[in-house]
Amino acid sequence: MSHKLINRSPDLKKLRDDGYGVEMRGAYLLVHGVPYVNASKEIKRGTLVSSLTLSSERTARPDTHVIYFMGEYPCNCDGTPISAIQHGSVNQVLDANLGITVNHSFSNKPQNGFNDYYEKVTSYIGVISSQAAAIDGSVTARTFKVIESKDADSVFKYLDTNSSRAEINMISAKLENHKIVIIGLGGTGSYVLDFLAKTPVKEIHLFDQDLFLQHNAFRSPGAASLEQLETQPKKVDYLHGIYSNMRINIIPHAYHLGAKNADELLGMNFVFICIDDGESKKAIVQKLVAAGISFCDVGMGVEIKDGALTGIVRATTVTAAKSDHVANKISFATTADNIYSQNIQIAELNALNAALAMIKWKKVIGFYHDLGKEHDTAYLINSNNIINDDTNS
Amino acid sequence: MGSRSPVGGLTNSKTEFVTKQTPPQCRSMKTIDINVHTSDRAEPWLVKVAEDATIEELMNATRAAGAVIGELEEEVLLLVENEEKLLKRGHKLSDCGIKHGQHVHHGIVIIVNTREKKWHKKDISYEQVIVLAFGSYSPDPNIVYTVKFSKGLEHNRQGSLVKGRSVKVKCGMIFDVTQTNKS
Repeated sequence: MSHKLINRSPDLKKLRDDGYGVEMRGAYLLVHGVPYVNASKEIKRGTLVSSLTLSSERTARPDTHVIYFMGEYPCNCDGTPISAIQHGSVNQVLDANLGITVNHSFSNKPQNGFNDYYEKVTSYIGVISSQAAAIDGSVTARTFKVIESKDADSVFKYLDTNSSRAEINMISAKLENHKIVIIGLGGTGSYVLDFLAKTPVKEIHLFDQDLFLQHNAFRSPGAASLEQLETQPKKVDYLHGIYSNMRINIIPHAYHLGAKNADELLGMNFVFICIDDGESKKAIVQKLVAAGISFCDVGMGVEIKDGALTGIVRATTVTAAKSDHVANKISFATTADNIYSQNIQIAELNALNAALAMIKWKKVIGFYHDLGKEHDTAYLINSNNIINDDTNS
Repeated sequence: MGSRSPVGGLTNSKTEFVTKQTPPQCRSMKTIDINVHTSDRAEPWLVKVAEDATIEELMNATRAAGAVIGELEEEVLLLVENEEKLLKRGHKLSDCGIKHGQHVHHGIVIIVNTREKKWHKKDISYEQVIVLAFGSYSPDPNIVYTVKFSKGLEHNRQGSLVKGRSVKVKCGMIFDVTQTNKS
């Protein structure tokens, strides 16, 4: 019983997408946060409980118009009981294991019964909550409260209502079952994680041995507290802590990835390379090309010219079908080669770089249309151009 | 007589000039003054040459006046009164429409990493853009620069340059070049 049932049942999905506090518990539909007026003319919130008639793992036409309620008896705005829906007021244990004990039952049968659960629930809410709204017009049952995900298959700790409300679940599903790696959790890598964490990919592996230091806080998403910085966490642990609020299967690897252990990438579906070190990058790229694993190498170069900044933000994508542009587009310059170059990075450029990489990855797996078929994208700061390259395959 | 900016609103002239072979004894002795702008000095060089001198003779006279000019290629990119012209070294000034008192810029101006740079050839390569930007080029195969251009010629307005490749230049063309390896 989970959001799979909700997604298969248009009536339940509509309830959830409209912001009602829908919860599936066992064979029952619970709608939390329904405002009502009690006998003392106070506004309270209760829970409507309905049994569910199911057919082929989706809801069918409700077999009863009776609904249950957890809370005090709902009254009119003057404190008198709403008699039109009165049915029973005996505490009744519907399911002890699931903790469903109801206080009242209501009956208000339309001539032809209810066609679906959306109609049934909203009809009762209309009767009960309109009295509360008469006292305070801002009160609504559409709370948009976070609904915990109890789907064993989901990586999220609460439902991805962004996809369901937009009705792009089928497209988002293309992102599932992917094992993704981010090598390097600096500015750009941490933004890649920020975007990736919000997709239903199966696993997100983070490789970085460095500590999350003060300057990192200024080019990573979110806002680290002084207390967090003072503990000097590893970057992967700091980020794992934050993004685990939202999803499972973020796997931190607090060590360097290079020639010696690049084999750990075998079996992965896509790799975001977000490191500066050319030597390690060369080993990683060679390993991935040989194994036919797709990846995106990102990087920027920003310089000071006459008191302002200019530069290029680049994302180069390599797939099993297209890798002949590696030598011309990905630099393996060592740190020693760059001893005199400045390391200027700005958060929005890190975010843009991550976004360019994310968009291309999603094109590779068919989430977005891809007519350009570019495998190298560069954003030029001073002319505000995006230059696409390596379109041949 | 300030130096004129050659950038902006210019078109590439594709005019072909016919070089007439004139016997030396028939050459006009009339001399004309040309203001030649070179990259090594803000002020132009006032150069006196025969009215029917060739481009090569004009540039040699400019060099004799003290300008530092590299070896001339067969084709020379000049800005004549702000009109971009790709000329052969043997072309005559009179055939190119270069007249007494006019301003001639040796090379055109392109923009490399926001800075104006003089360029004297019709093409520029990946390696040459890097030298213009950073003063030197390392042939180390591990080092890759990201070289992009915009405001290029009509059929090739924007794009990339990679090792060993060149692109035709145009006055005011913008180049961006940097290593893109910070993340």
